Amino acid sequence: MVDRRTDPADVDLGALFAAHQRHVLAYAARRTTHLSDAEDAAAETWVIAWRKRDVIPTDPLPWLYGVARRVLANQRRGTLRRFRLALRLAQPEPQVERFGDAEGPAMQALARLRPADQELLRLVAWEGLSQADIAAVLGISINAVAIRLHRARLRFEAEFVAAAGHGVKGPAAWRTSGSVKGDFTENVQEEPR
Amino acid sequence: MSEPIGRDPFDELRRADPAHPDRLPSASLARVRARVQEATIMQEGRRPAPRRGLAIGAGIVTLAVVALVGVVALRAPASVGQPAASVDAGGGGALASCVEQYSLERLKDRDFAFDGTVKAIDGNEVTFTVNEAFSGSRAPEVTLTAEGMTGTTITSAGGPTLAVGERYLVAGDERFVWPCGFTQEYDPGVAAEWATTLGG
Repeated sequence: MVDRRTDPADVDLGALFAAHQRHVLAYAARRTTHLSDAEDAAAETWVIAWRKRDVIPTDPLPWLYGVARRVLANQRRGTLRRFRLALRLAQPEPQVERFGDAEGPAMQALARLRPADQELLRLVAWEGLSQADIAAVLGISINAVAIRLHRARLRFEAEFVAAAGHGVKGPAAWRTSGSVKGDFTENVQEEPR
Repeated sequence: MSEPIGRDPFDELRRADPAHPDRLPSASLARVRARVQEATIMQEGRRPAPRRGLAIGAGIVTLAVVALVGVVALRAPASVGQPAASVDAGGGGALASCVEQYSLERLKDRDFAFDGTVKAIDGNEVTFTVNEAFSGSRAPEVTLTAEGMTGTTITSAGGPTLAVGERYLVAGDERFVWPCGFTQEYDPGVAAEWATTLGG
């Protein structure tokens, strides 16, 4: 269970905002293609945090990511997106500035996965969350995270090999390399291959 | 042709991060902050919302409370936007709801601060003649975005409502003027404190 604050007055939202505004906006920007959508989602996340400041846990970032995740889901489904789409057709909006290799095999492989797998891998690779934190974001058990992450990793590896083509060793080579950051293998029994 | 060393897919996924927090556009951060300030001020005095479906977006939230804003603005005491040097200004209610409370210490974190007179207002865009710059640009004239402070769209209860010909102490980030005490009607005593604090 998360450690809830006992006194809403203890929440210095300004300090939280200063500490985590970049993380929340980055979370949204990684999952949208238009800067305005990312800014909308980030702003809405903080407004919700302000309204629910009495339940913000002492480790707020996974909670904020969870809120942002639901905001983005609503945004994708909502009429606002359709309205903005109509505006974009008339007036191009700036896309999210992309860093890193957007066209490389890693992104190609990620794009071929199911949305749930994509989100698990993004939370580990880009948000750098532990399995416990991922469980808090997604509202599932740590054990479920471990199992799903393991399967997502296997699917990602297979897609990566297909996308990268030559120059890539088989999955076993990097699984034992020790270079993986984050809890990819925590609490997971390796399946015999 | 095969490379002698295998590629680690997860390392490559990490390097493909499309939006690293340290490399986000500062203008985006400023816009998010401005929207949050505006929305939280609008909702000041309302009880925290019960658990329910999320609002669609900050824009919709802002628009949805336009009717409330006028009442809030009318009720806001005249002293709102004219805080003393202490953290909690006499205005109290509206300022207490700001995401970031005004203080001389937090004034130091702002990109710019100046003593200026409003020369022109066009929608949310306000042109100031800079009488004295305390921090940031030393340009004699500057045009900034002052959402909710021009009386032409949504009025921010964090105020003030800027008027042509009037003199203000103005602070903010990027090209956004901040409410919540960071922008206030000119007062020579407060101006002296800004000058001392910012070393301008």
